[in-house]
Parts: sequence; C-alpha cells; structure tokens
Amino acid sequence: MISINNFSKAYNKKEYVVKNLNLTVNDGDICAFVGHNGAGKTTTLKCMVGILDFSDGDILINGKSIKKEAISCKKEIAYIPDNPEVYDHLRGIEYLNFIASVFKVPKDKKEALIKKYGDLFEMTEFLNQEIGGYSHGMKQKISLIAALIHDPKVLILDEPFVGLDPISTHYLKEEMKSMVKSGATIIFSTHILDVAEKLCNKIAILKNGSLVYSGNMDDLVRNKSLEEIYMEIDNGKLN
Amino acid sequence: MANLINLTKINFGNQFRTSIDSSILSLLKILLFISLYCILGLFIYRFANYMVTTFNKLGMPELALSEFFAFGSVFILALSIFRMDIFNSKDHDLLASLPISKKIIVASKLINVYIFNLLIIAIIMVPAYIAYINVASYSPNFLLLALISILTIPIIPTIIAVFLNSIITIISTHFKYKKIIQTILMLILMVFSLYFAYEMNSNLELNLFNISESFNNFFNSFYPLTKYFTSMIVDNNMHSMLIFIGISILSIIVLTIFLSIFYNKVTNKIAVRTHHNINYKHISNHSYFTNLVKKDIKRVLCSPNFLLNSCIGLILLILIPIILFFVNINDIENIALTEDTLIKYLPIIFAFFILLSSTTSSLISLEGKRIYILKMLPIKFSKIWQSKVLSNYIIILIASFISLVIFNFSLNLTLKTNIEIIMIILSSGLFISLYGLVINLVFPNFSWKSEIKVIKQSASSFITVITGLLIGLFIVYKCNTFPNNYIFLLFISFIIVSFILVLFLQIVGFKIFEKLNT
Repeated sequence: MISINNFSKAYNKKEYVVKNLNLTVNDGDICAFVGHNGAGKTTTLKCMVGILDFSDGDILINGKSIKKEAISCKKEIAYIPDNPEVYDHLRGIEYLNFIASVFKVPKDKKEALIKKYGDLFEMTEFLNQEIGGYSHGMKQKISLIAALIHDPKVLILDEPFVGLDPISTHYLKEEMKSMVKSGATIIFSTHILDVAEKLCNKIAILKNGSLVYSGNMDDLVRNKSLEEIYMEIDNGKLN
Repeated sequence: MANLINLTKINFGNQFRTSIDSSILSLLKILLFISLYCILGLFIYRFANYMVTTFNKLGMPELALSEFFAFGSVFILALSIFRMDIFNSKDHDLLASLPISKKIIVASKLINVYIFNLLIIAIIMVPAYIAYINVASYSPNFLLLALISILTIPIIPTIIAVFLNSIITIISTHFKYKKIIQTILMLILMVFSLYFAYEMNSNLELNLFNISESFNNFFNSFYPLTKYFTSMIVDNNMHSMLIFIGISILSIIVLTIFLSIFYNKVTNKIAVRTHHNINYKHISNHSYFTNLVKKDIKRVLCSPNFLLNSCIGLILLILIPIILFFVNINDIENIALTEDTLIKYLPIIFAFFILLSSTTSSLISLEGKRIYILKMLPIKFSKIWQSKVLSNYIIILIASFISLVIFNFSLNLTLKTNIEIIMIILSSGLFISLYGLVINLVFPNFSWKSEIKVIKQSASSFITVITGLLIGLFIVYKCNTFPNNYIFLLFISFIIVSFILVLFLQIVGFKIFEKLNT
C-alpha cells in the first residue's frame, strides 16, 4: 500500500512543484497518475521511491516511511523511470545479475525469472549484448525485467508504455494485472488515457502540483470517456 | 559489504569495459594501451634510474623514492581535482531507487576513482622501486612494504581531490547559475594551486652541509606524508607504516561519511531545473549564423570541464599578467628571467599558449547524437564550419586581448611588441581554430557517454593538443635563429596554412560532414 499524506515538494523556498498531496493506493490497486507536462507527476514518483528528498508531509510504503526507513521501503519497491539510464557498457545479463544481487534474489529463482521475462519481452537473445547498443524500447524492457525479477510488492512506473512495442505493451499490462491479483500495489504515470481507463481501477489527476481528482475509475468514468472528462477537469468545468 | 563489492564491480566494468569479444580492433586497442603503458614505464624507469644513481653518489638513494612519492602524489591530485565529480553521475536515479545506503554509493564511487589512480601511481612507483633495489641495499621487508605503499599512496591525493571538487560542487549548487559559479571556483582553485606550487618551489633552500635534510624538508613541505613514507620504506619503520596507512584509511572513512551527508541534498539541487521567466524582449532577432556561434560559445563557457581542458592555454595567458601585475618579475626567486627578456619573447609566449587552446577539436563530436539537427538544417556546410571556427576564434581573441591589456599595465610594452603580439594572436588563433575543426571532422566520436571522453580522451583532442604543443615548442626552440623577421614569418606561415585548411574544409570538408553518422 502507498499512502501519501500532506506531501509537498519545493525545489526552492518559493516555488512548490507539488502542494499538499494526499493519496492512498491500496494493495491490489492499479492507479493511473495523470496530468499535464510539468504537473509534478515525476517529482512525486521520485519522492515515493526516495530519489528526491522532501520536507513537508510523508509517504508510507506498506506502512513504513520512505523518509525514516528508506532502505527498508526500497526493498519492496521496483521503480522504472521514464528515461531509463542504465549502464551502457554492461551487458544486459550483467545488469540483471547486479539488480538481483542487490535484492538478494536466490540463484534458482533469478534464473527462472530472467528466462521467463526475457522470453516474454523478447529480450533473451539480446541479454548478452551491451546495453549501449539497445534502442530506447529495449532499454525500457531491460529496466522492466530488472524491476520484475525481485518480485516487488510495490511497482512505481513513470510512463512505462513509451517506446514499448505493441506485444510488450500487451504483456506488461497482463503482468501488471497478474501482480495486483496477488496483492501488489501499482502506480504509474501516463499520458495515454485509453490505457489508463482500461487498465486501472484508481486514478489521480494532478494539475499545477495539486491533486484535482482521486478515486475509483468507475466512479469518474460513467457515460463519457476519460479523455472527455480529463479535458473538462483541465478546463475547470468539472470539480 | 556485498553491495559495495557488486557496485564497485559494476562501476569498474562500466568504465573500463571494451568489448574484446566483438572485434579485433578492440583487442588491438587494448594491446596498444598495454604497450603504451609499458613504454611509459620504461621511460620512467630510465629517469628513476638516473635519479637513484645521482642521489646514490651523494650517499642517499632513498631521496629518489621520496621525490617520486611526493611528485607522484601531487600529480594524481592535480590530475583528479578537475574531473572527480562524485555527485554528477548518470546512474544517480537508478542507485537512489535501490535499497543501497548512501555511504555504500559514495564509497563505491571513491573506490572507482582510487582504482584509476592506482594504475597511475603503479606506473610511477614500480619503476622507481626497481631502480632503487638495483642500486641501494634494502631490507627483507622491502618488497612487501613497497606493495603496501603502492596500494596506499593514491588514497590521500584522491581524497583531497574529491573533497575539493565536492566543496566546489556543494557551493555552486546554492547559486542560480551553478555551472558558471563552478567554473569560476575551479579557476580560483587553479590560481591557488599555482601559488602553492610557487611557494613550495621557493621553499627549496639548499644547505650544502646537509643536502639530505634540505631535500627532505623540501619534499616534506611539498607533501607532508613523505616523511612517514620514507621512514616506512627505507628504515623499515612499522610505526610509520601504521601512521601512513591509518591516516589514509581514516581519511576515506571521514570523507565517505561527509559526502554521504550531502549526497542527497546536492544531487537533488543539481537536478533542479531553474525556471527563467521568458522576457519577450530577449527573443533573438539575430541571424541563424550568430545563433550558431552563440550556441557553441555557450557550450564552452557553461562547461567547467570543457573550459578548463580546452582553454587551459588562454587561462594561463590571462593569469600570468595578473600575477605580474602584483609581483615584479625581477623579484621572483628561482626564475632566471628579466623583464626585458620576457618582453622580447612575449609574442612567442602568446603563440605557445594560443596553440594549446582549441575548442573546435571537440565541437563536432560534442554534437553527439544531436548532429542530425545540424545536418537537417537548410544551410550550407560552409556556414556550419565557419560558425564553429568563429566561436573558438572569438574566445581566443577576447582572452588574448584581455591578457595583452593587462600585460601593458604590468610591463612596458612598445608599440612594435604590441603589433607583433596582435599579429600572432590573429594568425595563430585562426590556425588552431581551423586545425582543430579539420582534425575533429576527420576523427569524430559521437558514441560518447560523458563529455570528458571527447574533451580529454578523444583522438581529435589528443592530436590537436599534441600538434599545438609540438608547433609551440618548435617555435620556442627556433626563436633565436630568426632574430628580426621571425614574428612576421610566423604570421605568414600561420595565414598560409590557415588558407590551406580553409580550402580543405570547402572542398573536402562538406563531403566528410555529409557522411558523418552517429
């Protein structure tokens, strides 16, 4: 479970990127985090993971504060950034071994999961190549495999579908559904509202650093599409 | 501990990996590197042998080891200080999201820097030790102590370099224009380093009755740990060894804790994008050519690495007259140079330093994967190369003329000398700007991950610097053989070669540019 309480983030004393955000994503939820460019989505996700510090409020991962028990929280999280920066001169398999060793994944399980996800995302034949030679989509896939091989309880993804081919997109969505069925918590930012509408049971909409809507997808989307509702919210017609 | 080992392995593999399995060319590169490393070792051995033999004649061969230790340590410090930015790494977000403590992240980065410096100190100290045991008598523990010393020597200089660099980064993150502040602070540090080197040099007071003590005092003042090192290696003093190793390990622990305290704060501040409210008056009405030139000048000025490495000649050219403004050259000890001699050779000095300053040798490579933007622009290649040459030329002209103005305040320069210097500035500046661009066009490198790879370690920057240095040394060496019209001859030579380079760029350059591919 992710619990964000009175969270604010300012890069300098005057300029708040996110203001007083309250959001709860329960176990078994897939939550879409939606908002315009510069709304504060990536900043919030980075604070959830512990990449960025923040002073106001708190973020709890399965009841533990990311501020106070960062290492303990990070053991349960997998994070995939929007632009995965992985070690270019390492081979894919070396990178996966590194991540598995950090999370202390047992050898048998590691081998089985690398094979499973390598085949699923059609990466097995490229694992012996240097990451520097990968396309953006392949880097995205290797980050996904790295995120999934340690069985995370909380998955935080920043625009995960950008650069992925249709088949991998399909399998990622299926994997996300399967993970939440077994009790994981997933939150991801996206601009693709169709995907958000079909995949997620929760949605949070951010505008200029403030949460303008959060709740069940079904409660928000009834007679209209998410795109239409989002446009209305953005224009201030809907509160 | 397991995370530290894993992270160190990953960092090491990522930094030094060359895919030897993929091509013979990579294998050749490694062989070439090993050969050059060994050849350098042989040269250092010859020099060490000469020093040990010389000091042995005075009955104190151990002074050669002290000398190599002190200068080796300071060399590592000087080499590391401007390039060891612990906070600016591309893997920060990845590492920060993993369950790895900040101390482990910082320690792994320090170890990475240490391993690189270990290779350097090995090539300096191993030949010195071999030369020493060939000549002097040594204790049974010598080889073990020598090995321990090689592993320990790089620690303190690495720690000092990382500490100073980190302090500069920490201070600069408090400002809106971080990069500019960082560059200015680096320059100030460079001035202090020069002053420190000068002060150390003036500390060498030879006492003919006790030469050994004089040199020991000098090396100790140059690098205070020298006395522990000498005592450990030569006198087999275990107490000194423990102090030497203890100080090194303690300094690593203290620095790791210090940097881990600031790590998140600094990396967070580095990540901040400064918001500048757009002022519509500032929307440029300049031509595309002016904008191309401005883009490249900004590229140089906003990167401390680029500025300090590619424009080092110009920086020194400005620093020298500033120092002379405060210090009378006739009063400087240990320098056999009068004001008249300096004035006489000033045009040559300008030529020497300008020839070391070429940003164009990296400007094409630094476009990196964005080179397609230039290739897609609906403008002729001639305008692109002219803009790049002009950007370097403008930087050279501004820096050189600032230097010349300050020289006029510091020294009594005649009109003739001023004209000669201006001729040299105009011609040598044009030559090196064009030459650097031609070399970069022939040896481009678009597959870099860090700009340091292009600025310091690429073939084009290496060839340009070596050529500039060799031409500069040749000009200095030959300056007494052409007393009267030497400057005029240099001016004409630079202009003729520049003209040939322009023809090359016009006729062949655009074909090479069209074929450039990332």
